Amino acid sequence: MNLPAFVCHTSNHTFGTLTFGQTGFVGQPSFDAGGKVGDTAISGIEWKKDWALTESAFSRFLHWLDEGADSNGEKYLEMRRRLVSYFDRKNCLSPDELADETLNRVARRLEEEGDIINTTPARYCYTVAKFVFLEYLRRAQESSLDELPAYRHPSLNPSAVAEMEESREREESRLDCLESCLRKLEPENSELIFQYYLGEQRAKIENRRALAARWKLTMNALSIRACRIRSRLEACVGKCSEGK
Amino acid sequence: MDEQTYNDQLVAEYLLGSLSEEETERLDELSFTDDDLAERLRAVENDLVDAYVRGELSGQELERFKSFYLASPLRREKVRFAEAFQTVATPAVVVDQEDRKRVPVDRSVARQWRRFLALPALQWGLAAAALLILAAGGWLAFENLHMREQISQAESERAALSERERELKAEIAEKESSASEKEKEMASLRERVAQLEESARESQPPSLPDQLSIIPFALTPQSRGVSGIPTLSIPPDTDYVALQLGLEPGDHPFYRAELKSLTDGRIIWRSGKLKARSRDEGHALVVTFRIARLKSQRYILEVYGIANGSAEAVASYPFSIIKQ
Repeated sequence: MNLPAFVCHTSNHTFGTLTFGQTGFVGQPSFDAGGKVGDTAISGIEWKKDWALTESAFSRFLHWLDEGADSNGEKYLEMRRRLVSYFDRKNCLSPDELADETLNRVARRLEEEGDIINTTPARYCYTVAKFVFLEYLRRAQESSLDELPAYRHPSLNPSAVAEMEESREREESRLDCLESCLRKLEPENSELIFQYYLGEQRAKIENRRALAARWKLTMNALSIRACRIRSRLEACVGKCSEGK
Repeated sequence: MDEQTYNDQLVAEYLLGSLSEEETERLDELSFTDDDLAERLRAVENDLVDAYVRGELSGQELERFKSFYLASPLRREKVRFAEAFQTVATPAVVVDQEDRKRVPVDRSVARQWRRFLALPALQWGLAAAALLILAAGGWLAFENLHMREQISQAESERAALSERERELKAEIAEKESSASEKEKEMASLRERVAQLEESARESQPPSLPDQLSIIPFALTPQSRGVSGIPTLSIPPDTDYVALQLGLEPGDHPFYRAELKSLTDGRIIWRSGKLKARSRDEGHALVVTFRIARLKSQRYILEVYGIANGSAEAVASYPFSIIKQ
């Protein structure tokens, strides 16, 4: 399988005992010596322990996600992004871990059943994600607040927490990373992303309309392209910031 | 997917957790199965975060953003990225964190300044500069104190000089006053001299009224012994007596005569400047005075020659007066 060459957002999340970012494309899980994964604890909640993802199971999973077309792992990464966003919108404490748990279950089902039919991979992933989320809710309700580590206690004022977390040094570091990542962008993408965010409110809309015309794109296509460039930048900055 | 099933506003409300449970679940599923919505979600989310960073959110939307969206660490990270991106990508604004009001400022310049000021070398330099400023401040304070002392000393000296100046001025004024008094005295003396001369002129008989009675006598200078003292017998009704005083040869241009009482030495009369007249037998002075001033007794006329401002006794003429 051809693996994607670009960098995408991952944290040092775990997928079972799988650690992403060590082999293959970034975001691809790595496997232990036996080619299996072991037990794990996610968000302080114990998940199923009786199955481990193998390399062959992962390859089957990628193939299934691609629906017959080789996406170089792009479909896998995109599905993982959607899962992380989904769990994050549900205000789950560890969206990355829940996303990996979802992918793990789907891969297991696929490995066990050989195929999943009568539904699309995206819809099936969503269905499994719903169950993972419901499980998460149930287990979270079972565990009292006192059992959670202090850093996972909910805050009364998220905005204040956000401001407390933000320090000038980190901001400077982030800006340095952003500048570095912008320099790595292709010239046309760099120009597009800068042009796309020029102006405010109505002026911004007019600017985007003119930009779409110049690039011979629909407004929607321009938006998608700008969004992808921005996502790349975000991922690049995230990785860069973690390295500092 | 039908474009009519969602729009940007609906997606924004979904991201802010403002939709109903059913609508949320519908969009949850679409976010997996609809590639367009998945892309729209990211685009709308980016715009929403940008709007927050730019301070364009308000009212309930802003409240939901703070209470719901910012509850997630991942989403807070998106906000931080957007702030950084705004700094780099746009002529930016600073947004007050409390009320999200926008304050225009060149953030890139501000950032460059912050980074510039954060350079370790510059910080050491600033520290060194601060030390230098401190040292310079101390030196200036010392110099200031020293200069104050100098100024104080100079002021003391100036005060002393001023006092001396006042003293000298007073002294000069005093001397000027003294000179003025002396001038006044001189003027008074001149006036007195003028009065005496006037008085002398008055004592001359050149134009005596005819009805006045004048007795003339001629006297010679005193010889040794008093037996030869002439007696002048003055008739009654005599007003003046004119005495011709014979002079021994001399070169005094002027003379002066004083009439004294031989009884007590008191000066009874004093002439003005007199000029000698030539006679056959030599020079003579003529003096005239009122007889009413005299009594029957002895008198003496002292004649002084005046030359070069000094007077010299040249002759004496004693005589006796007997009033008839």
